[in-house]
Amino acid sequence: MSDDDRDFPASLRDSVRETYGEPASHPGDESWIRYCEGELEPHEVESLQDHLVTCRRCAALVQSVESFVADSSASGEAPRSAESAVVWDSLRTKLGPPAPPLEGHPSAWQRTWHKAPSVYAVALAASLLFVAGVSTWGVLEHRRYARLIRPQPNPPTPALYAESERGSSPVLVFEPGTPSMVVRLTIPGGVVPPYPSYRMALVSSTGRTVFAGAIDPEDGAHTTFPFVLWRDFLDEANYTIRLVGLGEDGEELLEEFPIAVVDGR
Amino acid sequence: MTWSQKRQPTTKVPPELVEGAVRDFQRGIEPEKRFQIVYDRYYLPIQNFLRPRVFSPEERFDLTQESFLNIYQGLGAFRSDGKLDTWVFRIVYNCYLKWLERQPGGKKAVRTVALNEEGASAQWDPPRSASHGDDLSPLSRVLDAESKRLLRDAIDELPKQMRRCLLLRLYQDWSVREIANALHLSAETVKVHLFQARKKLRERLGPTLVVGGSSGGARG
Repeated sequence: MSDDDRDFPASLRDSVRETYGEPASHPGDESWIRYCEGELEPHEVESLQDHLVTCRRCAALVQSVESFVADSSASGEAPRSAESAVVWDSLRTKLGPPAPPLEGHPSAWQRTWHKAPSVYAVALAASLLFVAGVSTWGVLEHRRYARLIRPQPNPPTPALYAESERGSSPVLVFEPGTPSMVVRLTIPGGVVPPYPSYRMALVSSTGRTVFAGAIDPEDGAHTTFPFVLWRDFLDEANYTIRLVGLGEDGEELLEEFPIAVVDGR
Repeated sequence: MTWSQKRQPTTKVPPELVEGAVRDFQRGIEPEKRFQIVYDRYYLPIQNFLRPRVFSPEERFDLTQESFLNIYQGLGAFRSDGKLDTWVFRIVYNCYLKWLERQPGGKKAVRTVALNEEGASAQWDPPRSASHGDDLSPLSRVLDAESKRLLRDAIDELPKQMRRCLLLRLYQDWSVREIANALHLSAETVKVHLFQARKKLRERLGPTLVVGGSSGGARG
C-alpha cells in the first residue's frame, strides 16, 4: 500500500466498487494493444480510458501488455538459465528455414561484409581520408563520396521510373561518380490489392539475388514503391526487380520489372 | 531452480542489438544466430506472462516453444516501423488464447481464473449488493442507496483525468506507477490528481463520505 491509501479508507474503495458496476461489453483485445502502443486517435483513447477505469478484464489485459513491454526492455539473459537453455535446445531443432524465403541466401557482398566488417571499415575510412585529403575535386566531390558511405533518406539523384508495362526495359544510367539512384516501381492504381507489407528483390540474369529487403509504398494507394540502388553493388548487366506482396495467406509475386544497369559516358 | 521460481538477475540486451538482429534475420544473414538474440530478449517476458496463467510446467514449455516458433516464422514479415515488443506480445497472447480454447471448460471459464491470478489488483471479490442489502433495515437501505448516489455524483463531477486516476486507484486498486503507465501520464501528475480528487470529495461529501454501512464506514 502506498502513502495515498492513508486518505482512502477501505470502505470508500468498497463503496466505489459497489457504485460502479462492471461493463457488459468490452473493446476488442487488439484495441487495447494498440492503445498501449499509442497508436489510437485521441477520441478512441478517451473512450477506452473511460471503459478501463471500471473494467477488471480490460484492466488486466492492459497491465499484461505494459508488464510485457517493461520486462522486454529490462530483460536479456546472460548467462542463459538452465530452463531457457533447455527450451532453446528443443526449439532450434524445429526452426527450419525462416519464412518468407524470398531472399534464399544473402548476396555475396552481404556475406563478405558481415564476415569481415572491420577490414571493410578500415578500407572505407582510409578511402575517405584519401578523398578528403588529396582530391582536387573540391567540396562537391567530397559530398558525393559522403553520400556513398552514409545513405541519405532522399538523395538528390535523378529518379528513374521503372514502369510496369511488360516488354519495356528501362535503362538505369549511372552518371560518372553517381553513387546511388532512387528508383520508383510504379504499378497502375487499382491493379494490386493492398498488402500488409511488401518486399523487393533484385535478381541477376543468372538468377542470383543481389539484394532483397522490405519496401514500403510511398502513397496510400499502394502503387508506387521507392528504393535506392547503389552503384558499387551492381555490375553493368541486366537485372529483374521482383515486387512481392506479403499477406496473411502467404506471399504473392506482384510484378517483375526488367532493367539494365549501364555506366554513363 | 524450478520453473515456478522467480527469474535470476540478467544483463539487459540493448534494443539496438535486437533491432540489428531482426534486420539481419530479414536479410537472411545467419538467421538462427540472430534469432537467438530475439529469443534471449523475450524468453523471460514470455515466462512472466505465462507463469501466473499456465500452471503446468510441461504446458508452459509447449506454449513457450509454440510462441517462439510463430515469432520465428513471422519475423521475416515484421515491419521495421512496427513495435517489436507488442508484436511479440500479440503472438504470445494469441497462442495463450488458443491454448485456453483447448482447455476443458472452454475459454471463458479458464480465462476468468487466469485473470484472477493477474496480481493483487484483480484479487478482490466484488461485493454482492443483494446479500449485503438483506442484512440492512429498510431505513439503512435507503440511506445506503442515497450515500452511493451522492458518491457517484461527486466522482462523476470530477475532471476527466482526475476521475480516471481516482477510479483506477479505488476501483482497480492500481498503484500510482501503474496508473501513470496506463494513462500515459507522469507519476507526479497522477499524485496531484489523486490529491485534488481526495480534497474535492472531502469538500463535496464531508461526513457523508461514510458509505457502504456494512464496512464500518470511514470519515474523510
